[in-house]
Amino acid sequence: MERLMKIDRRLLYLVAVVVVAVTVFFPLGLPVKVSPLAVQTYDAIQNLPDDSVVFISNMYDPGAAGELSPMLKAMLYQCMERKYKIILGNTSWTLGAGLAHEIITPIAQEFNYVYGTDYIELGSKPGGVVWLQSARIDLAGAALVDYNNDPIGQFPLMQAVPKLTQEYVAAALVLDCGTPGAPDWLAQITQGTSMKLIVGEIQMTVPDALTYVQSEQYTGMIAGSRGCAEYEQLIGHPGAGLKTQDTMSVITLMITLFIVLGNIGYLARKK
Amino acid sequence: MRKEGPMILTVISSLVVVFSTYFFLGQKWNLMAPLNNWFQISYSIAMALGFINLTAIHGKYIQRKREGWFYSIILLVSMYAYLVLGMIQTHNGLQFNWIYENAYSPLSSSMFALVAFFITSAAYRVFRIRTKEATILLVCAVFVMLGRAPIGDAMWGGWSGFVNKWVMGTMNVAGMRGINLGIYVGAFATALRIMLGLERAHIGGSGTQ
Repeated sequence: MERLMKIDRRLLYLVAVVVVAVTVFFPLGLPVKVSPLAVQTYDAIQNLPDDSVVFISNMYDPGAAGELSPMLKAMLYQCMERKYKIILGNTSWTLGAGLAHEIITPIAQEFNYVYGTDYIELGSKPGGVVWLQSARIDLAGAALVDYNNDPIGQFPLMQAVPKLTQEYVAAALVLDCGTPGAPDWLAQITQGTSMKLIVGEIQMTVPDALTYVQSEQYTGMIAGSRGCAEYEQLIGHPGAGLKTQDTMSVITLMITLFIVLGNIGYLARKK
Repeated sequence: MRKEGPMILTVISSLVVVFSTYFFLGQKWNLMAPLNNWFQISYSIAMALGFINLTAIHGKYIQRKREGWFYSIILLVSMYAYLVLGMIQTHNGLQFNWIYENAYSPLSSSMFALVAFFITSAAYRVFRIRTKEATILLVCAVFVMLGRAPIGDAMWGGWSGFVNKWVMGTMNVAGMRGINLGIYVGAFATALRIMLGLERAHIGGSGTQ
């Protein structure tokens, strides 16, 4: 029994790999219950005025893409179905710009969105919090060029949005996995204004973000891959978020089992 | 002047930021605008400094044939090759994008995915029922984990979701608020010390005064 405390970690890793591989090829099809928070987030985006401009900020890099890219995709689907104008960009997350470009391009083609009029990609801008402060006063001056290095002043959408303020932008949708992130958007852009702040968080940052949701500083939150699965169900576009839930279920059960085995061995040794 | 110069610059910049943020005249005169531009320029220069620093460190490793110096060669060659490729093709270049999408992006995601294996091993080794507090922590952790996965709903109906919601929404939020308050009070105190020149570690001083 005491040997249960000393299972070789390589065996644990092997079991984890096998479990993940099996659920990828043989999904369980477990139902995902939609939480009130996911409904709140969906409604917050859905109920924006018609012809709203939303700023989607992909503040992440490839490391967090597994959780946040499906959220970005789902948000783009909902926004384009509602025919919102979209400004997509981030600050200080240089490696995330390419990820966002790969995601938005086919979706924009699907919805016949015209670049420069219906949506625009700013790419990644240096400066973090400082860039947000500059964009609040003069968005075109802060951004200068778009993702393709074309001057942004020529695009009708950017002419219609001179500042990153509530008068021009109805909501900021921020996908966050570190610093700078959603709290910086809250402090520099949305706090004290009518601009809604809706966030997508990786599971690690959800405990911290919940404090902002409860105080209504975040209007909505997509909480980790489970939140993304719920959100995908609500928008009617199942994607990677839903596909990973079976794997997550089995991995969670496996970790629980290992914890129980370890404690059985520990209690046996204590006796 | 080597130490006094940066300190004077820090104090003046801090006062400009405070004046621009909290006083009407500061906002009206928009004193932050040139400061913000200078910050963005210096932020970009810091990237170049990073390159120089990495080159110097790994150059020394190669010169002294320190253990693992072969990996330093790989690092420097790939770093400069990708830099030159990016400068020639820009970020829209075919080969540049191919390397990003097929090499860098999967590698970066894989590094993050390794965390799952470490968590599996750590949870197995660390979660022991040694004390009452450890037992409470363990039970909460199991409920939160299972509550976040569909298997929890399948096993216990709405009950696991209710416990998960209570633990995260009440206990966790209360604790996180306390932690965040402490962090921000500490950050404010540190910023004040830097503004007053009492904290000198950032300019190569001996630390605090």
